Amino acid sequence: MWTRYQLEDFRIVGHFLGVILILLGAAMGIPLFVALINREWQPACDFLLSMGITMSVGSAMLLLKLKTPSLNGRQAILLTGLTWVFISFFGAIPFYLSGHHASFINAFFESVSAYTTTGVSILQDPHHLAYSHNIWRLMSMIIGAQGIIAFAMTVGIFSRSSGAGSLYKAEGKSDSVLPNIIATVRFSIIITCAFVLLGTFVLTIAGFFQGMSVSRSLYHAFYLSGSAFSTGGFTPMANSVIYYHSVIFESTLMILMISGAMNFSLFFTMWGGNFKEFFKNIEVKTLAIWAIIVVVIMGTALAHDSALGGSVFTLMRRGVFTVISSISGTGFQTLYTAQFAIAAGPAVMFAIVLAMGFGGSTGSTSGGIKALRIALIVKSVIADVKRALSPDRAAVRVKYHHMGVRVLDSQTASSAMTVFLLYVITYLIGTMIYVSLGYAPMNAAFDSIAATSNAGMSSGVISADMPMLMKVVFILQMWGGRLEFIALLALFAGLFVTFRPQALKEKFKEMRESHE
Amino acid sequence: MNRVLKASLTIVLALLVCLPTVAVPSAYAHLELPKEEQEKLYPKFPEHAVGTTDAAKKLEAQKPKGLVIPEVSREVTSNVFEVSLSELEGASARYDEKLVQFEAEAVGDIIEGPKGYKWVLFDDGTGSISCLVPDDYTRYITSLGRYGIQGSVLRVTGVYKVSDDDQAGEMDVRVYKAELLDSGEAIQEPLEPTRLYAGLGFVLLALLLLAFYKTVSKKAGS
Repeated sequence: MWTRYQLEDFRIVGHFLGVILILLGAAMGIPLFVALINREWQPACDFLLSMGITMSVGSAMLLLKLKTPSLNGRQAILLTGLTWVFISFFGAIPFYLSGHHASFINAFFESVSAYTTTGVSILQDPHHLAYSHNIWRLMSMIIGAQGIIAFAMTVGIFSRSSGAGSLYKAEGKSDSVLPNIIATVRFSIIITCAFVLLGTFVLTIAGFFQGMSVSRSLYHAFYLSGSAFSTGGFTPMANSVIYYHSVIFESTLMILMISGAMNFSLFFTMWGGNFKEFFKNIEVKTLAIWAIIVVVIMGTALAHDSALGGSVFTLMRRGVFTVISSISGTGFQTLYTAQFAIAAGPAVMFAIVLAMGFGGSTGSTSGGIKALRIALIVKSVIADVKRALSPDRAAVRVKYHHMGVRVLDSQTASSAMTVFLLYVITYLIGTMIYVSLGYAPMNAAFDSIAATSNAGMSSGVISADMPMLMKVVFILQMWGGRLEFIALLALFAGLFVTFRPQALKEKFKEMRESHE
Repeated sequence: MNRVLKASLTIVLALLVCLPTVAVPSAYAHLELPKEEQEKLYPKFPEHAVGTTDAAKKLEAQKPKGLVIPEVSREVTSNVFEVSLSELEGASARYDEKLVQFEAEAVGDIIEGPKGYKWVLFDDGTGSISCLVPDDYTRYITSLGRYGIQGSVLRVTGVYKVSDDDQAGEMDVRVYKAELLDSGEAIQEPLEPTRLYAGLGFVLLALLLLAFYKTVSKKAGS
C-alpha cells in the first residue's frame, strides 16, 4: 500500500533541509576567503551573495519546526532525495554568477556533475576561471563524494535521530565500518584527508620539476589529488591530465583513483592489521579480474585497430590509465576525446564503456554497478546451476568473503539484481533518447553510461549547447546513479502518491468534512 | 590525540587551499604598468620568428640532438592551413602531419618538454591544444592567461600530429614559427556594487532569521 506524505512530514524534512542549507552556505565561506586573499573582488561578491541567499532560505526553513524533531525511515528517504536537489540548486548559484555558464540550467548541470562526482564539465572559458570558483568546484566534488548527509552527520545533525541508518544507506552507502555510523563517516573523512595530503606532496614536487612555480604546482597538486581520490574528475585545465605530460602525475593519480575506488571498510580492516582481507575480499578480486580483462581488450584494440601510434609501452600507459580512470569513475583523460572517439577505434570505446558500466567498489566514492553486485550476481547464477544439478533435498549454500565469510542469501542476490537492472535500464533509456536526438548509437551509449555511472568521460555528445531535454536527462541519470536509484525513485513515487489529483481531491474532501 | 590530529589536518588543508593562490598575483605585477612601460621590459621578438624558409633553416642548424624538426620547404610553406583549435581538437585526419596556423592565447603554465622544447597550452576560445614550442620562443611569452590576466597572443605555425609517436601518442603541434601579436595585459573585472549590497543584505537577513529561530525555539522549549 502506498502511503502519502503528510504536512508534518514535509515540516520535519523542511527543517532538516534548512540546517543543511545553512551548512552549505557556511561552506561557501571557504571560497569567499580564497577570493579575498587573491583580490578576486567580483568572485568574492558572487560568493557573498550565494552564501546570503542559501543561508536565508535555510534559516527560514528552520522555522518549520521549532524543536529539533527525529526522523523516521520514510522521512529519511524524502530528505535524502530532496537534499540532493536543493544542494545542487543552491550550489549552482556561484557557478551561474561566475559568468562562465550561458544559462542557469548549464550552471545547474555543472553543479549536479560536481556533487555526483561525475566530473563532466560544460564550463566556458575554463582557463580564465577565478581560483575561488575553481576551489568551489573541487569542494562540491569532495562534499558529494563523502555524501552530503554524511557531512551533516559529522557536525552533529541527525545525531539524535533514529533515521541515521536509513539516511546513510539512502545516500548510496552500504557498509558501516564502525558500530557508530557517525564514527564511520568521520573515519572516511580522515582517510580522504590522508590520501589527499600524500598526493598533494608528491605532485607538488613533480609539478615543480615540470617547470611550474611552487604555488602553481601546489594548487594543481591539491586540486588533482582531491579530484582523483573523490573519483570526481574535474581538473583546473580544460585538457585534463594531458596538460601535465608526466608519467609521475599519471602514476600518482592512478594510485589515488584506485584508492578512491576501494571500499572504505577495507581501509579500516587493514588499519586494524588485517592485510589478508585485501587478498581475500571478493570485491578486490572481481575488480582486479575485470580490470585485467579490459586492459587486454583495450591494449589489443589500440595495437591493431587504431590510428594511434607509439610503442607498446606508450599504448599500455595510455590504456591502463584510461581503464583505471573509467573503472574508478573518475574520468581523467590522457587522450583527447576525439582521439579515443575517432582515432582509437570502436573497440577501444567499447572497452571503456565496459569499464565505466562496471564501476568500482561499494562503500567507495566511485559509481557504476559496483564490483560486489557483479560478483554476487555471478555467485547467484552459480548457485542456481548447482541447485539444478543437485538432488532435490540438497541444501546449496554459496559463500563469499567480504569483510569476513558470508553466505549468499536470496534477498542479497535479489537486491543486487534489482540495482543491476535499474542501471542497465537507465543506460538504455538514456541511449535511446540521445539516438532519437540524432547522435550516433555508440557515442550516445558511451555518454549515457558515463553519466549514469558517474564516470564523466564524454565522446563529444555532452556540450554546453546540447538541447535542454538532454541536459535534463543527463541530470536525472547522474542523480540516479549517485543515489543508486532507490532514493530517487522513492522520492518521485512518494511525491506522486501525495500530490496526484485523486489524492488531492480526497484531501480537500476530508478538510471540508472536518470543517462541517 | 585524535582531536589534535583532526585539527592539524584541518589547518593544513585550509593552508593548502589558500597558500598557492597568494603568491601568484605578485608574478604579474609588471602587467599593471602602462603598456609603454611594459614594452620597455620585453626584448624584441627574434628576427627569425617572422619570416620565410630561412627561419626553418636556422632552426634546423640549431636543432637539439635526437629531435627532428619537420622539414620546411618553400612549397610546403605555401600550404599552411588556417585552422581553429576546435578543428585540431577534433583529431581531424585532414590536417594530420600538415602545417597549420592559428592565433591563440598562451594559458596556464610553461611545462618542461623534450630537450630544447617546452609545452605551452594555447586557447583560441573555440578549443585548446598543447604545443611543443622551442625554448627560444618561450622567453617571449611574457604572460600566461588566467583569471584577471590576458595571456600573450601569438600566431603559431607548426606541424599538427593527431598522435605524436615521440610524445607517447599525444596530439600536439610542433611549432616552428611564432609571431607575438599581443604581449598580454591585466584585466580588471568591473565590480558590480549591486551584488555586494545584495550579498550583505541577504547575509544580514539570514542572521536575523537565525536569531529569531533561536529565540522562538527557546521559548517553545520552556
